[in-house]
Amino acid sequence: MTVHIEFDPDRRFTDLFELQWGRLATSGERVLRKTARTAEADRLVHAEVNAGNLLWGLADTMYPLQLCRVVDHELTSPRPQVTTTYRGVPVAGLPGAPMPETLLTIFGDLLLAIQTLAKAGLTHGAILPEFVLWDGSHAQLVSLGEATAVGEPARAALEPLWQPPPGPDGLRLATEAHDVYQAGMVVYCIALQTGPADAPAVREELARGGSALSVLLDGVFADDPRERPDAHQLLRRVEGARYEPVWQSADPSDATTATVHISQLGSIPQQHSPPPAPAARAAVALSPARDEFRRLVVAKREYRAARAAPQVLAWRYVRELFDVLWYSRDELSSRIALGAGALVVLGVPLALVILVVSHLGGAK
Amino acid sequence: MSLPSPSRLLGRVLCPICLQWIHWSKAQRVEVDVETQQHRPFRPRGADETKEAFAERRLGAQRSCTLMRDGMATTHYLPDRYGDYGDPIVIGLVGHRAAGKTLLLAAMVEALRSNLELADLGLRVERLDEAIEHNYMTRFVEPFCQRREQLPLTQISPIAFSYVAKVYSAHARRDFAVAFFDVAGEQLRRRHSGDRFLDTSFLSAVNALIFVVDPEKALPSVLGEPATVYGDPAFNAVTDRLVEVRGEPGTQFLPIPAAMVVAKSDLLAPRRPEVARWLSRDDTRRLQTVAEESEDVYEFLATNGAERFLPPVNRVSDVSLHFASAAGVAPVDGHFPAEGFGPRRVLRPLLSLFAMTGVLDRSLLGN
Repeated sequence: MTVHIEFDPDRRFTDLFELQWGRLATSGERVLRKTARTAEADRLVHAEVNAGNLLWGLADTMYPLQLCRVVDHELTSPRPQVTTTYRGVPVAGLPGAPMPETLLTIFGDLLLAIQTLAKAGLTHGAILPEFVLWDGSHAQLVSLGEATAVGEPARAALEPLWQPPPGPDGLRLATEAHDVYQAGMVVYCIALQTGPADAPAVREELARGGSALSVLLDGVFADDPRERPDAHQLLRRVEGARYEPVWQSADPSDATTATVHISQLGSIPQQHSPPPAPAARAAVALSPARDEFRRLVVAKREYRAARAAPQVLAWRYVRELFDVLWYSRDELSSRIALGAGALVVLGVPLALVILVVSHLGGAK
Repeated sequence: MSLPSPSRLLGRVLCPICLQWIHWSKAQRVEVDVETQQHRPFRPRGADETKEAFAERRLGAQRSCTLMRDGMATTHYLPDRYGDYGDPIVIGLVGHRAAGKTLLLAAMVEALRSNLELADLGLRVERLDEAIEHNYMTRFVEPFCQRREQLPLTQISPIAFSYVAKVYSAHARRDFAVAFFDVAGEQLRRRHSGDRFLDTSFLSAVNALIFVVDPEKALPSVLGEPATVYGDPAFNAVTDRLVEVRGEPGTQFLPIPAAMVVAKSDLLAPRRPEVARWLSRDDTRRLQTVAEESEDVYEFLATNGAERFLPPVNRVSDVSLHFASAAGVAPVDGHFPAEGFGPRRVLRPLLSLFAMTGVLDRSLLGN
């Protein structure tokens, strides 16, 4: 299948690649073509295409929007190239710290990307702020060239401060825990507008802050990869940070609670933040649909309670009993007649005996 | 002290196929003649028949139920032990054609028969009828769950049990017969024709419903496909019939519990993190989160153009909403790819219904 891409005329060059941006003619999606310039870049291009194939092979009906997608490649030419989607701008280039809500979305999307890669048996290996794009509503993890099969030795030659500590055996094998560490470091850096640091320094900094950020990232920077929370656990934390305060409140006037809570995610300089931004939060937590559903739940609970009242239950029981009896009347009629007969046969003499005895007793 | 229900007290069972009250202990037991393949009265244990051989033969027994109408007798058959455990739980699956009902039920049955976590909830599931079990496993569960085959669309056919199981509940301290009816989507919309074997009369006997929402029809905008969303005619047809047959005056609610399932949720997960989050959760047993999930699903449907699928939620007296996926992936050329294949959260709607119908403790649902 030929993919039609309209490339921009401008090209950029790095040590490894020639870069050219463009758009898919069919959807207008932004893409980036990387053409290898060195043998190392050649390897990265091949690895990215391989990772792309594995991700497609997951056969999910929709490709996850949290990961870039390989849309075209050419591996047979002397300068192999790969074209991937490229949605948004690197978070490294965002002006100032993102809003807390944005920060949670970025972290959540990174964790979903890590989970998807893990499903394909891969780790990203190089989750750095320049490879995490933000398009205003979602984050996308790009540059899959360093993706490594789980359990293989990690290949990416990163700056030491981006390297997660090795395992207890001294080996740095590719594992989801390392991706989690790097995603946590990205969040740490963009939230606090600081550079990467080694694990003990980050732990110390977070402990000193005592903020919601330290709760969110608790355990992520553990030295032993086995002690780090996995992506699933962290996603639940993200979810909790988003919803918990409002979830506990039945009063719509508490809609700002979540904002207050989330804004504790560190003392962040809000350079591009319109100050009170609870509107979006409130829309999520207390939407009319949610309110409507809660009212419905209450009304149904009351209805069920009313139906379970003893007198209602008794009335329904009698009605159902009568219904079944009426249906079975033909079958039961002979038994009813027999029962009535038995009552007469046994009851009448018994009644007479009682009458006689009571009469004689009275005469004395 | 809890009284047995009137029908149980009198030993009657409502036949879900013809809607007659059957005196269960008197219902004729039949067996299939191996040579003629015809039903014949079940022979009592012969003098030369061992206890084991008799028990083996009993496995193939059924109960016949005859509907007399206009001088014509029509006979159909029920599982031999269907009425042995008091009022059965009859669950109907509702949704339009190709909504995913059959795959959902197959995945549900597979999970019901093999999920070890059910024991933690005090449930023990066994087969109720050998023939139905064998038929369902070979026609639906094995092709779908083991060979990853796409199942053919359900065709209009006489109403019959799709699947039936015996469920022991430690909470209720008794066994339940649980029956499932999965009929073709268009059959659910058939006008009352007088033919109880082809129209939806069986709905009058169901005591729980599973509404299956197809995201391709209900949520095209989420899937990036521009399309107008119409409601599900099967939902309306079933709700209308139940209102007419079982509605109570003076209330907006229908006295029947239901679960609404957004099937094929794997289609939505890559595009919507809230769906992905629910699908990735491993909380089959933790029914306390059902209330939270229901609220999320309701809001998701209401705010993404699928509000026309919500009327049943508003009408039934007890409801839970769920994201689920029977296969986890989409089929390619009639087969599901191995990568990523597997059911997601298919058991929770059923467990919710169990809690609403008294098989499990209702308070487990947390609301």
